[in-house]
Amino acid sequence: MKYYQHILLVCLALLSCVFMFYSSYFSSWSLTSFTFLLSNPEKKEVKGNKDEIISHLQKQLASKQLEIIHLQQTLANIEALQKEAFLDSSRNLISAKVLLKRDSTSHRNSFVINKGKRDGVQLGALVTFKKNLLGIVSKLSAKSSMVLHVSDPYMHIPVFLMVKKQQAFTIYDEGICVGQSKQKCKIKFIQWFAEKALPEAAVALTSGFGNRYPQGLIVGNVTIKKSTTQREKQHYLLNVNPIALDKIYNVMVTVNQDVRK
Amino acid sequence: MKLYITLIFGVLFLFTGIVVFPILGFHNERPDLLIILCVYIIVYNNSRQSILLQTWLIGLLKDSLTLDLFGLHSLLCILLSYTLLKLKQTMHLTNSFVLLILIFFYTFQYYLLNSIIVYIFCNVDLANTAFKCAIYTTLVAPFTILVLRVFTHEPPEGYLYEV
Repeated sequence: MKYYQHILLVCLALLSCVFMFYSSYFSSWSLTSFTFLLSNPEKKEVKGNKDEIISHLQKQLASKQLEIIHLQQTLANIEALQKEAFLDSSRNLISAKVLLKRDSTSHRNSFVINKGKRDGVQLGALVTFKKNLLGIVSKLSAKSSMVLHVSDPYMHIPVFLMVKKQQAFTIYDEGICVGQSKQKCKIKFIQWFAEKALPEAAVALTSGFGNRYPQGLIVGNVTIKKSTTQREKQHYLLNVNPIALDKIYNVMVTVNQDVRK
Repeated sequence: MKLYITLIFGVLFLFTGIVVFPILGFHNERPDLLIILCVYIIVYNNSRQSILLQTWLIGLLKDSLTLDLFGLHSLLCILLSYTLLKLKQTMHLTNSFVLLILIFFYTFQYYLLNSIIVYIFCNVDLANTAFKCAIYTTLVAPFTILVLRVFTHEPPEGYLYEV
């Protein structure tokens, strides 16, 4: 390789390092440009004869009716969540559409929603679906934001384990739910007493420790398996399966009321 | 391969990887089409400057829709392409079988480096994922290369390039 090719290599590598240093600024800029590609273009007025205009208006009416039904469902969800009172009065919920359900690299787990700074979303805002925790907002742009999914390796959520056994619920001590990528998590550091009979069902719920996540949100269903290794004769694997993203199109995002005003 | 063709294929492959492959489903694994594009550019381009620039831009495309640090993937892409350029000086890489082996090792190295970063910061072992991703990418590579060859009108296998 010639000297100017080496110079180009070094310059590009240095430019990458500058990008990494000002990562938050450049990432929001790139997210904005991609949201422009993903968002639907605004509908223009249709010009033509009477029949064309009528059929177009009928289509619009049908789509608006569908939108009303969807909004009614969203409202019911919000009311149900507020009754459960996991949110304090300073927080509000807005509905957001999922634009992309995967990250560009296969070892990370994230998704893009169509609400951003303009709608009052802030970094670290909770993203939920019904009573399930989906993740937290990690990258922001004006019209969209990127959400860190619960199964991302960088996600560590304090949880407690609720186990159903012989029609009775038992709550175990706190542990940490760590993302394992590929839409799976694992519970670590939990005080788990080895018992002969495995439970019928178990759910991981946020414990509220550290006040980052409110108490009582569902992280996922837990599958408990017995495993034996040479070092530890017998131990249990607590794998968490969060709700599948593929079936979700609309989510809820918490925003501060003051910011929205 | 011209810069605008690389960018068009880059955006196309980025969205194919995110939207189409998860639907097909292969134990939650998906191939990295952008890495195939990278290797293809390195092998079939003559100008080293354009190779470096194009692979760096592909890395930036990857950076734009991930939660990793912005610039990390462009840095990894350019460093790995530099190693392949060094290899190209000593080896004839246009053979199909060699190309597949290159894609496997390039993907494996790429994701292994990423999993090392994840292990350092989060103590989560993802080396297994790197291996699976490399295998899946290699399986998909022949079809992707066929598409690239058709659209970029590359000469057939065995054509000797200036080293």
